[in-house]
Amino acid sequence: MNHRWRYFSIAAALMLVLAACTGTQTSSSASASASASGGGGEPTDGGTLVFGGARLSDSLDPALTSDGESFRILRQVYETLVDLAPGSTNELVGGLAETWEGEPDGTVYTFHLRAGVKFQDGTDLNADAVVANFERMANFSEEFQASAYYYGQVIGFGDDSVIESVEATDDMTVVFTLKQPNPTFLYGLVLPCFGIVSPAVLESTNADDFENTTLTTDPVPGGTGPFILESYTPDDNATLVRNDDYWGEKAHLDRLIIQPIADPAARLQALQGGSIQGFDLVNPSDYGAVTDGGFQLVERLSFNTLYLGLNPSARENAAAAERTYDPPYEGESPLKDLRVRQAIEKAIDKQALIPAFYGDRGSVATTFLPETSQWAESMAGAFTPNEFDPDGARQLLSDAGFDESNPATIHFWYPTEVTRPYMPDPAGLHQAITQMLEDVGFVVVPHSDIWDDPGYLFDGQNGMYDLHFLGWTGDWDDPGNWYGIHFAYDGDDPAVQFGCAVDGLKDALDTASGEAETTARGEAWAQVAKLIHDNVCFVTLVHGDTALAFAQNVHGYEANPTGSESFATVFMDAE
Amino acid sequence: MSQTATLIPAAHEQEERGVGLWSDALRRMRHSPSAIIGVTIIGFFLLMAIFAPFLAPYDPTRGNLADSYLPPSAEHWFGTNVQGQDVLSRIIFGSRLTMGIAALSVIIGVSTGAILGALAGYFRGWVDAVIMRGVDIMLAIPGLLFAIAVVTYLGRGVVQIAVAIAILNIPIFARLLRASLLSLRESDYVIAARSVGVPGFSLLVRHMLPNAVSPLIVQGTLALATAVVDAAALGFLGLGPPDPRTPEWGMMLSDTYRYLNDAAYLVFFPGVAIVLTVVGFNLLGDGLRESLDPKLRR
Amino acid sequence: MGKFILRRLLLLIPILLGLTLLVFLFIRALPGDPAAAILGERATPAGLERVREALGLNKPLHVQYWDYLSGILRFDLGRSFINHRDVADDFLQRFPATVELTLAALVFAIGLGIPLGMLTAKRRGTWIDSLGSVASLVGISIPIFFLGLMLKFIFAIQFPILPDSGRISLAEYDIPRVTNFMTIDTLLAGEWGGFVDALRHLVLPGIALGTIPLAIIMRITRASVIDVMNEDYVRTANAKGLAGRVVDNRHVLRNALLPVVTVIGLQLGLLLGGAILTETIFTWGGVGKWIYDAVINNDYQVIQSGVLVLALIFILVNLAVDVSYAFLNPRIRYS
Repeated sequence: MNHRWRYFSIAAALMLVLAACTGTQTSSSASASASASGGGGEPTDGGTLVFGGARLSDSLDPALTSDGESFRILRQVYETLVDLAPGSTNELVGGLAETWEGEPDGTVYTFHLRAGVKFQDGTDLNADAVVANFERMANFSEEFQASAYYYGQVIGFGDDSVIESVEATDDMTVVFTLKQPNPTFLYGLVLPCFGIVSPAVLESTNADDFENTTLTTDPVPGGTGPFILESYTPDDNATLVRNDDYWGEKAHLDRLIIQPIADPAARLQALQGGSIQGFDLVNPSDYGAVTDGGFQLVERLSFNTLYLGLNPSARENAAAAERTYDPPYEGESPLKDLRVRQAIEKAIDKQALIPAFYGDRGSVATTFLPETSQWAESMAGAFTPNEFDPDGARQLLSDAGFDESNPATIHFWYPTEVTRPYMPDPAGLHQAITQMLEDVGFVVVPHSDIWDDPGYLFDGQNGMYDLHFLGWTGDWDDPGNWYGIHFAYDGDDPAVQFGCAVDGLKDALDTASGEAETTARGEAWAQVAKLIHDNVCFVTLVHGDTALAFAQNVHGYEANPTGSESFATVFMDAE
Repeated sequence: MSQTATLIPAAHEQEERGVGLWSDALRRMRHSPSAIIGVTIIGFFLLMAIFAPFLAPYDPTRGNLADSYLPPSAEHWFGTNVQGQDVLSRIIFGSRLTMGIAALSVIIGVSTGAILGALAGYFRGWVDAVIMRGVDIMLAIPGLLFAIAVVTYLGRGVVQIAVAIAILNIPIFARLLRASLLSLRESDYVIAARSVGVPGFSLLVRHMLPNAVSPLIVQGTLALATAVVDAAALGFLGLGPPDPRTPEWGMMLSDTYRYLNDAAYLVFFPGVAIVLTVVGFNLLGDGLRESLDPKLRR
Repeated sequence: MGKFILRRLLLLIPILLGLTLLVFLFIRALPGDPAAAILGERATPAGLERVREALGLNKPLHVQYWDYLSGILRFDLGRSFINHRDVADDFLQRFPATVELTLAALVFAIGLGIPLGMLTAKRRGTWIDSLGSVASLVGISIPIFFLGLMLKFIFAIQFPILPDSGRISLAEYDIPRVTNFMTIDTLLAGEWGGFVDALRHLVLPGIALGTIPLAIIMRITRASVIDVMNEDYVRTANAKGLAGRVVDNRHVLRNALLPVVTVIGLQLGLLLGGAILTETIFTWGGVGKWIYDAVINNDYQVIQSGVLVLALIFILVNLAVDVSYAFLNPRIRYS
C-alpha cells in the first residue's frame, strides 16, 4: 500500500519548506467573542445537570475517538498537555503541561508538567506516564489504527510519523523531538483524543489488546480531569461525578449526566418537559422557541463551512471507475466552461438560505475560512466574490452557448442520513439550490446517497459528482487545515475531489504551506484562495452557527467554535 | 372428456360459478356500509391522483424561500413548508405516488407469492419444504428491517420501494395460497376430478386456483393498506425517492417533523392523508371479506 | 407433545442456518462500506483500505462466513465495527429495554383489547359496537410513527403531562442498572418514586406501539366471543338459567380466548419490528434502534448477530404460542 494520505503530503510539504523559516506564530484570540450561559452571580456548588447530546461516545478510550459527541464526554475526564483558552480557536494555554518551550520552526518541544496532579485512580502524573501514552498510540496495532484517526493525521503511524522521539528527561519534563519542523503540531495536541490516561489503568484494562480491552467500554477512573466517568450505559446515559481531588479549580456540579437524544426537536421537547437542563445543537428553526420558552440560547460561532463542490471531470472520473448512476451521466460536462461555473455561483442566493435553514444565525461564506478564524480577513481581501446575480448568470450561460433547446444539464448530489452543523437539512438545501439553478436556466438532475456509504463520501471525494454538498469543520485554526487539505496536489494532479486544474495553484499551495511567518503565511494562503475562487472550483455557501440551550438556572457554560468545551465552570442555582 | 364434464363442473361452469360469485359479492357489497365507505374514500384519493394537475392550486415542487412556513390560510389551505411549497398541492400529487406504490407492490407480491404458494401446494415434497423454509426465514426477520435492507440494496426510487414492500408480502401470499390449495386437495370435487384422471396441472389451473382466489383478493386489499403504511415508513426513515422534491407523504412527514415544535400542521396533514387512505383500504378489504366469505352468506 | 416440540426445534436448525447465510450475504451485497462509515468525511482511499484490512473485510467471503458462524457456535457475537463494544453485551443491555416496552404495549393492548372486544360483542349492533368498530379501524390504520409524533405533540408539548423520551428522569433518580429492566431496577434500589417515574416513561411509547395490537385483539375477541355465544353449549347454559357472569367466565371467555392467544403471539413478533420506529421516535435505548443504526452505519457485526438473535426469539415465541395453543385446546393433537 503505497497510497499516501493527502493529509500527509500536506504535512510533508509543510515540514520540508519550513526548515528555513524563523519567528513565532503569535497567538491572537479569535476576534469574535463566544457566548456563554450568563449571570448567576457567585458560583454555587452542587446539583445534577442532565445534558442532551446527539449521541454518547463511540468509544471510552480517548485515543480511539474523533468526533464531537465523544469529545464532549471524554474531555471532561481526560486532559491534554496543552489546551485552547476558553472561547478561543487559537490561543494556547497550559493543560497538564504548565509551561512549554518550542518554536514553530523548530523540532524540539519541551513540556514541563504541572506538579501535584493525580490520576483519578490515585497514581501520580509524571513524565513517564506521558511517554507511555504516546508510545502506546505509536505502537497501535492495525485494528486500533483504524479508529485512531487523529493520531494518524497529526502524528502518523510507522514511517509516516512526524515524531523522532518522545523522552522523559526528568520526572516532570517530556521532550518531543520532531523529524521536521511542524507549525501546527501543538494545535493537534489540543484535541481530546490526546488526553493522557493513567498507565496503571491502561494496564488493568488490557488497553493494548484489541480483543479484550475494556478501556473502550467500561467507565474507569483513568483521567486527571475535573469529572470522573462513573457509569456508562450505551444509548441511555453517561454519568460523570465531580473529581474532588482535581488539581485545578474543582467542578461545581455534583453530577453531570449526558443523555443521547438523536433528534434535535426531541432534545428541545426534553428541555421543555424538564427532563434535561441543557442540550447542544439546537435545531435552527427552534431558536425562537428556545428564547420564547424562557430558556437561554448560547450561541457557538461557526468554525465550519458548507460548500458546493464542482467537478468538471466528474463524468470522466465516473466512467473510469465504472460507476453507473441512475439517471446516467450523458454527454460532456457543461462545468468545463468557466462561465458555467461562474453562472452557478451567481445563481445562488446564499443569503436566502440562512433564515430558512440556519435560523438566521449563520453567515454567508465568502471564503472557506469562517470569520472566527484569525486568517479569515486576509483571505477575504484577496478576491472579489461572484455576488448573487441571476441575470448575470443567465447571460453567462447564453454566452457559453446554452439556451432552452440546449440547456446546461448538471447532476447534483446530496447526502442522506446525516446532519452536520454546517448542513442542518441536506435535502432541504438541495431543493432550494436546485430551484435557484433552474431559475437561471440549468437543468438539474437530483441524486442522493447515504452519507457514510462509499456512494456519497467516497464517490464525492473521488470526484465523481458534477455538483455535490460537503463541508468542513476546522480541526485547528490554520488555512492549511482548510484550503490545504482540500486542494493539495497529488504529484502533478490537482485534488481529485474538485479536479481544480489551475495554473500556478500547485506552486501557490507549496509556498503557502511552507510559510511560517504569520503575515507572509496569510498572504500566501490568500493567493491560494484567490486562484481557487477565481476559477470557481467550489462555491462556499454558509458558515453555520450552532447553539446550545440551557434552563435559566444553569450558568457558566462557555461555548467554543471548535466545540471543545468544559463543564467544570458550569453551576446551577440552588433550588 | 364428456364423461368428466358430467361428473364434475367443467371449466366454463366454474367460470360461470365464478361470475355468479362475483356478481353475488358485488350485490352484497352494495349493502355493506364498510365497503361503501371504503370505496368512497379510495375513489376520492384515486380521483385526486388522476386529476392532480387540475386540482392542485400550485406546482408541488416549486417554492420560494421567502414563503417559508406560512401557516394555513386562504391562499395556502394547508400552509407551506420550509421551501415555501404549498402543502395541499403536495398532498394531492402525493396521492399518485402512494396509490402507485401500493398497487405495484401488491401486484408483484400477490403474483410472486401465488406462484410460489401454488408450486409448494401442488408439488409438495422437497419443493414445498424448500419454499416453506424460505418463507419461514423471511417471516422471522422483522419486516421493516427487511424492507430497509432491500431498499438500501436496490437503491432509492418508487419502483424499488414497491419491490421492497412486495417482497415483504410474498411469504404471506405464498402461505395463504398453499393453505387454500391443501384444503382444496381434500375437497370432494377435487378428489372426484382426480379419480376420473383429470391431469394434475389442469386440475390445479382449472379447478383449484379459481377457488383459491377469493382469499387472495381479500388479503391483497388489506395488503394495499399495509403497503401505504410501509411506503410512508420508508419515506419517514429517509429511504423515499431520491429527488427530495418528490411529494411522498412519508417523506413529507420526515422532512418536517423536526418542525413539530412550531409548525405542527406540516406533520398533521400528510399524516391524516396516510391514515385516511389506509382506513379506506382496510374498509374495502373488510367489505370484500364479508361479501366473499361463503360462511357469511345469508 | 414432547416429540412435537423436539421436531419443531430440529426444524430450527436449517432455518437458522439459512438465515445466517441470507443475512451474511445480504449485508455484504449492500452498497455501504463499514470502513467509510468509520472514517466519515475524513475517509481517504488509503485510510479505507487500512480499515478494511483491520476489520477482516479483505478476506474471502467464505472465510468471513466461517468466522461468523464459528463465532456464533462459541456464543461469540463479535465486536461492533463502530464502537468496539461486544455485541452480546450490548444486546443483553438493550434487550430488556425492548422487552419492557413490548410488555407495556402488550399490557395496554390486552388489558384494553379483551374487555373492549367482549363489550362490543355483547352490545353487538348498538352504538357502542359501532364506535368500537370505528375506533379499532382507525387503530389498525394509523402508522406508528404518526401516532407517536401526535402523542408527543399532544401530551409532551401542548399539555406537558408525560415524559416524551428516555426511560427515567435521570436528574432525579440515580438507579444502578442491575437487570436493565428499569421497573425492576427501581424497585431493587428501593425507589418507589423512580418506579412510578419509569412507568410514566412507558406510557406514550407503550401506547404508540400497542395501538395496532390493541385494535387487532379487540376485533378478534369480538368476533370470537360472537362465535362462541352462538355455540350450542352456551345457548344451553343460558337456557339453563346460569347467571350471565358464570356463563361468561366459564364458557364463553375460555373458549373465545383460543384465537386471541394466537393473535397475541403473532403480535409479539410484530412488536419487535414496530420497536424500530417507536424507539427512534421516543429515544428508547432498545434493540430496534440499535439494529436500525447498525444498518445505517453498515455495522456488519451488529446487524448479522442482532438480526439472528431477534429472529431466533421470534421463532421461539411462535413455538411457545403453538404449544400454549395445544394446552388450551385439547382437541388439537400434535404428532
